[in-house]
Amino acid sequence: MLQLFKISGDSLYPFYKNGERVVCRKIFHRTPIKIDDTVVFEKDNYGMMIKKVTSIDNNAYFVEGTDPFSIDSRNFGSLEREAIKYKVLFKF
Amino acid sequence: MFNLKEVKAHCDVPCGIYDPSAAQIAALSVIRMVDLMDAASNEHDVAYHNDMARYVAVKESEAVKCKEEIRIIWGDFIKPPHLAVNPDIHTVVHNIMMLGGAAKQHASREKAMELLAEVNKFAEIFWKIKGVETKVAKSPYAPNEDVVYPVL
Repeated sequence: MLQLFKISGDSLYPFYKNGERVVCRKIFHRTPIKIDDTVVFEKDNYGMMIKKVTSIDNNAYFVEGTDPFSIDSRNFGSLEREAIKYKVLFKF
Repeated sequence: MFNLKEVKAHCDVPCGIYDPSAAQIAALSVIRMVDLMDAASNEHDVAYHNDMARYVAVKESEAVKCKEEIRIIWGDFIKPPHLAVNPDIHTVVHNIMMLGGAAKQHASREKAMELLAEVNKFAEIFWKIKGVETKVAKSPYAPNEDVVYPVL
């Protein structure tokens, strides 16, 4: 199941820029999530966010932007897999 | 066929410079102004009124600056994970907001000292979050009161 997203912000610059659009596939129970995958997740107080997975420890997925001032797991900690909703396939 | 949703890739303002020392200096300045007001001569001449007006003006602006500096760190730097391990941050910040107002309303050294104490508490929490050790030392200038300093 596919979903389109428009990116707001530059925390993944230069890989994804503000205003770019990405095609994502929905994460299901068996969908693999690997380090370096770019994922879309729901975070309380922040809404839907997009970041890269930088480490995985059991069910703790640490996500980061490429910008040093990105708001990500360095601020709010690791995500549980259930919080990750989509995985980016490509941008257009 | 597809609806386009927005997804956030947000950053903080890219400066990352946060430091409670400006708020601590402002709180010390409030105490200093109260001390100068207390020490002013009792001759209510033009010079007295001039000095007093200046002390009051500086006390007002330093109290406002103190509140503003704390508000910025609290609003921009403090994140939910910090709150989880430092649940009293909101209370400390609210106390600073109220004591900053009291410092403007009154010329009370006691209130000004309470403001400095709360700002020091905030500084201690801030440096703990940053993983920086702190020490308490007297400010090396009047009013020579206790200040929480980072050990760098």
